[in-house]
Amino acid sequence: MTKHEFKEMVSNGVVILDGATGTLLQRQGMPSGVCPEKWVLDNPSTIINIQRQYIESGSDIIYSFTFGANELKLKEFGIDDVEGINRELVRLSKQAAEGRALVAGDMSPTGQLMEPFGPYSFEEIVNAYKKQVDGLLHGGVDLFVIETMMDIQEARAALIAVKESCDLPVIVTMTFEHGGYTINGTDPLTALITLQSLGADAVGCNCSTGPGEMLEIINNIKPYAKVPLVAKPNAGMPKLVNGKTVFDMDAGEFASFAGQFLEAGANLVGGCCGTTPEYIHCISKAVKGKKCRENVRKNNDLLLSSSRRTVSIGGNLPVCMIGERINPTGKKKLSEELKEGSMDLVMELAMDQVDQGALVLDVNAGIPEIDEVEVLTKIVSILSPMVKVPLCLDSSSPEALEAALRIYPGRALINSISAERQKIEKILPVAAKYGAAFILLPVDDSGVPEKAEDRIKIIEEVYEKAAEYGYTKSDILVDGLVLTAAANQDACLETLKVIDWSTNEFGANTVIGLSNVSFGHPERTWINAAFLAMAMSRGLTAVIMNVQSEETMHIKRAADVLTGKDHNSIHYIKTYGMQNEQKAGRKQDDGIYNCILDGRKGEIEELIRKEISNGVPPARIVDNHLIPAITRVGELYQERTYFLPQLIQSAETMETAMKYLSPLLEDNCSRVKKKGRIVLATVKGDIHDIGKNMVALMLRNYGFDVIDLGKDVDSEIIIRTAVDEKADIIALSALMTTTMEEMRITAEKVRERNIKASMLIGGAAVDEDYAREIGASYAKDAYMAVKEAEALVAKRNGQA
Amino acid sequence: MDGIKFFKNIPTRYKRSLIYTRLGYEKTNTRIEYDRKRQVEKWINEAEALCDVCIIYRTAEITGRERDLVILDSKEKITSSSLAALVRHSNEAVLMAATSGHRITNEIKRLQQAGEMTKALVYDAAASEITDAGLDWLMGFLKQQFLRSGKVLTPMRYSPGYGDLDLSYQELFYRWLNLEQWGVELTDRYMLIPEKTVTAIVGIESLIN
Repeated sequence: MTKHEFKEMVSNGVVILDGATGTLLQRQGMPSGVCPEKWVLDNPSTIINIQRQYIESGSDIIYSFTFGANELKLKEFGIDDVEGINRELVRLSKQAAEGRALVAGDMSPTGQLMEPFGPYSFEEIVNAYKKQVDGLLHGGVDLFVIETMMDIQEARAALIAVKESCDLPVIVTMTFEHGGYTINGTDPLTALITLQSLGADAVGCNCSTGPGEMLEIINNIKPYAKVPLVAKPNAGMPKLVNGKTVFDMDAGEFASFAGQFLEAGANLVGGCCGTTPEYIHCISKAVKGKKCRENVRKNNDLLLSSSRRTVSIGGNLPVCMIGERINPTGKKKLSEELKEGSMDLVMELAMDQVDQGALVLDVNAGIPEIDEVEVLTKIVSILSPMVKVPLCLDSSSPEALEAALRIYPGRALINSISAERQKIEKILPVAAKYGAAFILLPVDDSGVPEKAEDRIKIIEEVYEKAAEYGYTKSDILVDGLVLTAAANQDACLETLKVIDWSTNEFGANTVIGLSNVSFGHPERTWINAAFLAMAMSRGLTAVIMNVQSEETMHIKRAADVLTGKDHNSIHYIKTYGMQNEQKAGRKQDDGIYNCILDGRKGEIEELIRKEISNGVPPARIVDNHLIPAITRVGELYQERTYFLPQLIQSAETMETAMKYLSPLLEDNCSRVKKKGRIVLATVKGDIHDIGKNMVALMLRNYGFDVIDLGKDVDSEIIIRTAVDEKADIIALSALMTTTMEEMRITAEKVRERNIKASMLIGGAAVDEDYAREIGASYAKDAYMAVKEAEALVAKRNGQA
Repeated sequence: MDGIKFFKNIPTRYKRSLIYTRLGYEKTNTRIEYDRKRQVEKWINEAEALCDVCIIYRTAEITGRERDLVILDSKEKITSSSLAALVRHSNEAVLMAATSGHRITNEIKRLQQAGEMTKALVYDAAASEITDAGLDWLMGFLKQQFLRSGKVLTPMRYSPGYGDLDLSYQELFYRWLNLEQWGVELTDRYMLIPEKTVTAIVGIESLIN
């Protein structure tokens, strides 16, 4: 079957697939623990019977029983004849079909993960699948189906294996868990964008969910589909009935969804776990041959994907920021790190740019003295699992691009393809093979055209070539081509004309590399920001820029509002509205107080220094600003307006303030006199100390003298220290049930030796009852530890 | 050791809201300033990048079961009525461990020593959630693997230290999963090092169609 024939068959009306096979084979006697494929070959009539039933029930396509017949799965059963087992199983399906239905060569997960998650390389998985494809082809399959895929990268590997082996149509279906993601975090839209651009002839989902949830998935992805969609749900969701797990949806109820699948836009429907020929008969009766909703793209947005996210670039969306900083050109430190093979700075730059709002990251490894193929692929393999945004592969090397695109688990953007012969002849076919989108740079072998008209001619020429490979205008970004204003001020206007033309006449999305415009000028930020606003007014949809430039970011956000791309100013308000919101408990004109409340540790010393230089005595700073502030922080925490990080950040700021002020305070200052002395430790055998460390920080901030003995501390050491240091309180922490008994041991020793110190305990393993039982006080968190300590000291001093 | 399988650096999907809950966030009461929220979010991302989540697991046959006793592979006895109830329809069980590795715990330790307690606190909460999500990932993976062969996992899993499954059974998991090979240590009080390491057991049931 050709791809064209497949397309025609699907366009004629809904195609009916088959249902579950494994469970039916079990009913026919297949024991558990055996290799199902081998058992079927030994009992061929079983599969022939089941598949005949499916064909008689209306299946237009049946799946060969080769679900687990890939090299890695068969190896688990000690079988190495991958080609033979696949070939013979297809022959059985052909025998069952007798020309009445098509036979799809079924491929599924290997059960293994590939690098960086598992031991297998991408190529090893591709090669494992190729062996299966070889057998399926020898058996005479009409098309392929790659199904129940949990990992988008493994689905890509299987698809590439088929594409590199033959021209038959390929259906790919992923399995999305309850909640709509694969277990590796790929959402249905991202899977669709990645797989349809890589060349799948139909994309969809099977297994994991019942028809209800799957219907929602099909509805959601239909507006973005360029290929037919597939739905093969389970017979409902497994349910616990009388303590046993069952599929409880019957064939009638299952088939009642068939019409809705049609309306949602599913072109191929069938069943998965829990379904039988009866279910397929019912859906076939309901919808076979009927036309489903057509694929109609809502807009001309360019869609890029990583393994976990899709990014849209389009005229009605805020301008997409492509982070430019992973580029060693002119960056000595990054160049050196890349030459040494270190990826630390690359990872840092990636995370920082995403944090600042980059939706795509440009990655470039094109410097002399490094192997670009090796370094670019290394960057891609490091960043792909780490950042959720798609990558823009910035290279003029066809080899580096091919290597990177092959392992990139999404739909990447290439920067760039121009009319230069090498790019048209070498890079365009590579881009097309992997379905990458690209930036169309209006440059040819004669150089950079000055005038917009000449650039437009090149754009049309490159697009025409790209269209031969199946590219449409929604697959490209036209580069306005920014030149340096310092060299030629007229050039900026030519760039704007190209953006204007592409937006209003050509109909493709646009991009500029912003920083070029200001090269050679002082205070480049202002030039960049102004030019970005001008370009946005002409319809710019994406910009390659330094997202860490605050000024440019402010202008970009404002321009998104003014050009109507930020609908109802949602993003603008989200960014700036929150900043001006009244912060809880702030005092006007009290910088130090507010600094403690905000937990701005880095600013507190400077504020205090200023007050002192204005003649304010240090003790007054403590009494009038710091103590009221940390008291207010405590109140905010107690009422849960603050959560733990806010409490601790304020405590850290207070600590920094007190460290600075302590040498300046006179002996009679209230803050120099400690409230009491506390010996603090995590008990013997317990290695957890973060909670205890927070308690120490808080106690010190509230004026206690804390002797912190650390973690895993023997009770004898705790007691000896408490005696030697004349401690008022022994405070102990334990996280585990196996170590909390050390608290009792310590408490007993304290009593036996008539030590006067009070006991205070806390930690995940203990509670108030346990504390009472061993004769101690209890604090449930760091703040309550302060309150309890204050109460204990007051009691000792006869104040309570 | 036979039958032990593993996955390295798995891409866990964790719920950020659960990290906030661990940190004492209350939806109706807590108000976080814009800058501080961004800072916490950034620290969670950094913690995620430092977690090298590895999963180690193996299946065991349930060869005996009483009201408060489960016997694995005819040799290991686990006394726990809650576990026995969980696996009452299971003939097999999966023993599993997830560890986020040493990088994150070393960084949390370093931050505390450097006086960056807030950052350490957020890293710690994030790492705990991400490690737990490692076991969720494995259950999702196994669920899919088993479904095609007519098997399902019990809806819940049990960890040593929870309910009446004593923490001392950490030793059984440690031994059965050969965690030493993964750089995990077991202390004499049954704590696992690195600290962000968790273990659990889940039953496998047959699916009734």
